[in-house]
Amino acid sequence: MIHVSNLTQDFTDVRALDNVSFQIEKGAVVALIGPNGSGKTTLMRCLSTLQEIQDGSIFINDIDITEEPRRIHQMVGYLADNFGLYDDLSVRQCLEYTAYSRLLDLKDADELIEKCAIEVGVIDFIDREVNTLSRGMRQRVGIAQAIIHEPELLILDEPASGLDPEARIDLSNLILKLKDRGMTIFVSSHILAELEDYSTEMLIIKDGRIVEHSKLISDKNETSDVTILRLILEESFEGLRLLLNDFAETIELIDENELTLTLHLKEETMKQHELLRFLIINNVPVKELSKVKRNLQEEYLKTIHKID
Amino acid sequence: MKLLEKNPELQRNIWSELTMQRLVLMPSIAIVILLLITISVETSNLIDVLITVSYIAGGAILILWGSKVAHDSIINEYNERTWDWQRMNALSSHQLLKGKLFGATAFNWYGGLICLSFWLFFSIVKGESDLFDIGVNFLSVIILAITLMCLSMIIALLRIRKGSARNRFKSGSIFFLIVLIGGSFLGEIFLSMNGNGGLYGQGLTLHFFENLFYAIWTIIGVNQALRHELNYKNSSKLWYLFLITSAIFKGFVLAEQFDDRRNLFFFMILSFTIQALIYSYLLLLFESKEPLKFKVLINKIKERDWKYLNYKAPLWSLTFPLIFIGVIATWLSFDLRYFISKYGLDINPLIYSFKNSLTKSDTFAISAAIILFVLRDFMLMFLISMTSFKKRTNGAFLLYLFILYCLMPLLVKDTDQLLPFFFPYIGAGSMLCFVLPLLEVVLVAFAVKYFLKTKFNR
Repeated sequence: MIHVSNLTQDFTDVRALDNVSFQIEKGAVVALIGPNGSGKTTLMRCLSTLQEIQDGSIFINDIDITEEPRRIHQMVGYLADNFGLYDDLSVRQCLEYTAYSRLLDLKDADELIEKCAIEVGVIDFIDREVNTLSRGMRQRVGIAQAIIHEPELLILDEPASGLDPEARIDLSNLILKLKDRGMTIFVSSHILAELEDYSTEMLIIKDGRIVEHSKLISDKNETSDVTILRLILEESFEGLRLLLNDFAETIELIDENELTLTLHLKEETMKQHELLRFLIINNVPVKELSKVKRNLQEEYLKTIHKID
Repeated sequence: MKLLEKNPELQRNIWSELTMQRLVLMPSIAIVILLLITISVETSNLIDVLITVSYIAGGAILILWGSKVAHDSIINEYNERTWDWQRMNALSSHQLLKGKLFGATAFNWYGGLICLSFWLFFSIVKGESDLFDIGVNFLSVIILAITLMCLSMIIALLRIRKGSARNRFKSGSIFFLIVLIGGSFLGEIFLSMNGNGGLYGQGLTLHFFENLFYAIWTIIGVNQALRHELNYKNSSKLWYLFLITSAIFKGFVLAEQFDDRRNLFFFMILSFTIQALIYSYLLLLFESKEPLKFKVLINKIKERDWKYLNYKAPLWSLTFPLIFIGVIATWLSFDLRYFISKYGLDINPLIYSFKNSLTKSDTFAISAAIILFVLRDFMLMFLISMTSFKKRTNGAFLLYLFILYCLMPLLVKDTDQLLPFFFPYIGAGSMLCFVLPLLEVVLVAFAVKYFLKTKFNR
């Protein structure tokens, strides 16, 4: 879906992006994380064709964004950190304007607007002026504007900043809903706990460089076929490594720390309970076998500190 | 087809601008003011007062206020971050242009046309002017309004082009510029319609068509600037076509003004050169002076990347080489001595004093000096943009120009040998006239090279 290679973006006093390369599959929800000034917004603006690319290339759905930026605009929905709304219009007018200006052949927008307003939860205040809405409501209107033309790629720059806890939960649920519809979503945020709920991939950017790109597995990531498991032994068991080697294609030993092992299990071929049964049959002194939810905050801090 | 389907941008602006309250308020205020004048003014020529007031009100609302609104409509979108929506929507540049030109200023068109309708009505009632002339004057105001609104939009689009996503812009200085230009043109039209001279004269004069010509080009200019924002590729051909057609038109105007059709071709070349000079300096002030872009431009020129130069190079860099061509063409195409003896006195007595002593090599030295001074100024601008003055580049640049072209020559006016340092001056001989600016160019070029090297050492 997204193929970025050797993207370098300079400003006079700083290199905002430095040889950035990565690939994102369709349907992924990518958490773009990094300290302030690390290049997150520049990268997002480049993906949205709002920032002219100086060096390198970006392909979205095999389309070179520098060659056909107008086609990319139709595929992408972008929401900036302050949402950028027309304050003196009503929510309905905002959505009508966006619908007709993004979908040129549209004949009757009423149905589309209603559907979109219900989806993002703005239907109850659709006739209110935008300047009377709370930040959370404004954010929903912004997302409605960004998705009204059914983009394949949705880019959200700091969508959760300044939102109250309830609005953040609503945002998480909305992103999960959009993900289920097959939308590829790129989200930057400082609130890592929420990104964890819906992200399938994590991109850590620091000083304009991608320092970590990994897949995330969480309870809600049903698309992933790999489960991370933590195996804690009652006492050391010498033949365990040999035992696991017999299932090398299914089980991968990631980390071993005294009596605690971290495993990757391909659930397509073996379920968790089957692994447990297998270990017990082979007299492995299992104290605990549990699913590990990767902690985004820990991962992020670990990566950042490793670089420092 | 409803307006929303036809032009959503126009509809959006009308929603914002033409509220019911505003629709009622504007004609009410206009009528109340005219009634108050009718009641309170004790003069035998009340109708003249009504004509003047309605004209000034119409001009102020439509042209001065309208141009400011046109400028701010874009700057505000940028500041409020709604510009990103505009850039990513599927509307064409034409739709955006119409939407902004007639939508963002809808209230000004509404109010301005109400006042101008009163002006038309009172002028017809007065019955002294020909109906055709009144109509032409009315059209002149409309054309002027479109020209200035488009010009304001071009300035706004150039300003946001050089900003980063986090910049915010203000519009105070632009309003001053609009009042200055708009006010002077409005005054000229007013003088013309009263038969008191003025630039426009009566009926369909050359100046009417000149205004129309520039109105069309400013519309094209806005369209091109919007195309750039919408990520379309703009070829430089249209810019060059504007400069050439404008030079031809201005050449005709100058030949008419000087009543010298024999030298029509020269006037065209002269217009071309002067315009290249003026537009280069103006664009340099309005366009981005980011040292990085300057460096990229130098690299692209070195790489002979014609595609980049054609589609992405800043307009100042496309206009700048025309100064060289223009100055050389001017030098080749005209007998300077004839020109100085005929027009020199009108321009400057100092120029006239050289009428019998100028040789072809002298005029060449002057031409070369002009080119060298332009080169120095442009490099100076980029030097400033790389120093600690970068946030006030334009101000610092204008101050330097004032010191170099006005203050210093005044200080050394009694030392002939030093004057060629500050402007193309032949009084100290053609050698000094050429060598001293060349020395300046070399010095500034070294400084630019040094700063570029230290700044982009990554």
